[in-house]
Amino acid sequence: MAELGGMAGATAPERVTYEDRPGLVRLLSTNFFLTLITIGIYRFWAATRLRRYLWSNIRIGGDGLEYTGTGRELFLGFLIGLAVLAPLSIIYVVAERLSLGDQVLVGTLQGLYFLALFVFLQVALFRSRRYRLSRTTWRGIYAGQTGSTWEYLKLFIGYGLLTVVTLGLALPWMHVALARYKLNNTTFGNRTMHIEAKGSALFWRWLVVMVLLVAPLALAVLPNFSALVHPVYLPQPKGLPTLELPHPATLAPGFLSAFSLGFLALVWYRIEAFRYLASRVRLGTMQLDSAAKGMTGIGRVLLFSVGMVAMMIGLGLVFWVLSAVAIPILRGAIAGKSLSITTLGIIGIGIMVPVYIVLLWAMQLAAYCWLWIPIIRHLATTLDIENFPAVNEITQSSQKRPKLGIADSFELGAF
Amino acid sequence: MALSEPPRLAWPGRYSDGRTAAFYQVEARIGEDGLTITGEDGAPYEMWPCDTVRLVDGPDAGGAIRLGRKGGDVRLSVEDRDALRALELHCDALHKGMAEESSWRVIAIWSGAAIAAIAFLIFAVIPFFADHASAWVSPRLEAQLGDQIADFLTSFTVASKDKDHAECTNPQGRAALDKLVAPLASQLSLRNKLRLRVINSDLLNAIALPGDEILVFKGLINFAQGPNEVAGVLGHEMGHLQLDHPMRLVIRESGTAFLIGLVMGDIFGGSAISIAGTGLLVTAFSRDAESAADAEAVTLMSRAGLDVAPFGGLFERLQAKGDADIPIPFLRTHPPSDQRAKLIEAAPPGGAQALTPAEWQNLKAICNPD
Repeated sequence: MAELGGMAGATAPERVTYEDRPGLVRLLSTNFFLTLITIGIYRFWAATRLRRYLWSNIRIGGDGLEYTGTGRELFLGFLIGLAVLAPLSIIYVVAERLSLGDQVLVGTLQGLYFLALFVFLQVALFRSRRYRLSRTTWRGIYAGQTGSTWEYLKLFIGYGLLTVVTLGLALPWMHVALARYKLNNTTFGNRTMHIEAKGSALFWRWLVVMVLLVAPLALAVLPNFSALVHPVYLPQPKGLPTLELPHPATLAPGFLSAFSLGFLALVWYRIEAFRYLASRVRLGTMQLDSAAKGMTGIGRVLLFSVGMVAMMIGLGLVFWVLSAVAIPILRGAIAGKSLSITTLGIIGIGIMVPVYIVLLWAMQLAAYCWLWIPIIRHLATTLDIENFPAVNEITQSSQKRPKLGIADSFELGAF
Repeated sequence: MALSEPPRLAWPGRYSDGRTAAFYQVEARIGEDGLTITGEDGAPYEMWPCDTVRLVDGPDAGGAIRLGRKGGDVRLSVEDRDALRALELHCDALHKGMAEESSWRVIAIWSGAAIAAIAFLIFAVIPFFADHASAWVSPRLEAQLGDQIADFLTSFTVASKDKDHAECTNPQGRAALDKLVAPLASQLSLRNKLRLRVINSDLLNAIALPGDEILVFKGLINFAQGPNEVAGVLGHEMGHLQLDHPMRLVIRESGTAFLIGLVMGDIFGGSAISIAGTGLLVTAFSRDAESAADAEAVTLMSRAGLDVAPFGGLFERLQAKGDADIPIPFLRTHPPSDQRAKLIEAAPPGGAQALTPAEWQNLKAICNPD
């Protein structure tokens, strides 16, 4: 039997490709509306369908990835999580409600609760990555993730504290350490990935993000600093002028530019970090090489924002014209007693609810079609695999594929 | 090619054996027994019985499909447009799933466990917390909670032009209100001192809050035709306070809202918590609670020597005005008026007016500038 892939000698790097299959809009739409009418229960099947679509669009050496997970698995994981988590969280809610009014107590409780949830979120993210990889195959060979959740959590807490103490400056080291742990524990068949990466390589890029995020905030907050940091519910110090919270409008420009600039910078950083990390990954004798560009991501976000603004303006115009026509007619009808306020309210809600749903649907379509999928496509199609023929030496892992555990599929909406 | 023409039954393909990531050029042929995969040299390589052949991917834009064999990791990619049609004719199970799924029985068991956990929380744990709230919450905290809700309701219901004058504090009106309230309030045993605010809003409503606080909206005072109608409404709200209804409702609402959020995938419960603070806005006391508050109101009024008869009148006119005109459903679930009528009949007839006509006019003007 002729083996085609196994040609020896140096070959050109294999470029990953992305094939846009038809049917995305239909897939997203049925997912959206089925999730809506099942008050969210369909979301597990929706995520599965979307993953199956995205995975098979990504092609390596002419063969698409394959996602073999099922909605039923995710649903079961959710049920188990629910049965376990619900009683725990309800205790928090009641405790929080009972102490409402006591700002200090509420603050402490909330802080503890959200910290616990945040840590739980990291566990769930690590475990759901394990689940996703274990349901990913290429040419019938399965990927996977080894390593212990507990080790990962220790890394997360240790580096997390370091990042907090350094006011965020150490974040690249945390980012790289966690990526290192995840990638060094990522398997494909009988091979384990290997990465050598240092946090310092990402430091100046992260510094750009921090400057763009912090500078506008500082400009907005510093003139009102004393008023903002002094808790308004504590008695005001005697003999000092009364501290008044600044009007929100004076803070808005600073917060708005921090948010938008910071968001753009963050997208840029994430893609730059992806290129750095991906280019340092080896799988056996194969080496990955990424040429992804952060600026491409920024371009995508800007394009998406322009699209959203255009959509909003268009919608606003439609409403403006409609209300200009409808309001005098309705006024006349109410004055003439042919229409009661109640009926009007019901009609109003009857119009607003579908409009709101359609708006949500359009926004979700736009976010996938104009933002997420273009970014995924960019990341995929700039990825080279050097010495690709060595892939033929990879054999199926003899390890057992994980059955799903509680957090394995306590899905958090990410794909 | 005409559609009626039978599809070709043999196609070139790429085969991966599920043991290595290499692939081999093969020929695949569908027949009665199943799918035969033959190497390029013509040697039969593998046979997949028809009921194990699964479509795992495709067809893509070029018509390519990928097939798998159930229970194995082998894959066969075929780029012939005829293949899918031919396979559909031969293999009924083609579109079934590949995975060994956990059975619906396991799903049912865990569904049951999740539903049982939630039902236990809703019907046992939350009511227990709610009914024993006063044992754990200090009166001071309850009052602070009430104030928070009151502030929110005020900002939410007062028109923007009246924002600077949200609470009605006209001294003469206030004096009249205090006189109206005193004989009723003196009969209560509350944990906090009773607080009463009149809110400058046209809402036809009054509402009892945790921490022994009552909000009365201007619209209701304007709608009333006499002091005893207002006394009846206030007595009703005091009944709610005396029976600790608001605090129970708040706890019940927040717990339930949080659980619903959890089921719908909001694991942080953030949205539910923010909504729950205003639970009093969107929910109502149960009918039993309303009947109990009515009974309290009648007792309070008759012990204070007031004429109870107008008490029912206000509610009847509210109902005649149409329930749907009341934007907040609080008054909507009031018990049927015949039940209230029976209560009023049973009360001793006669009785005094709560205020003199002049005082009544002052009360109606409580929202005028000071």
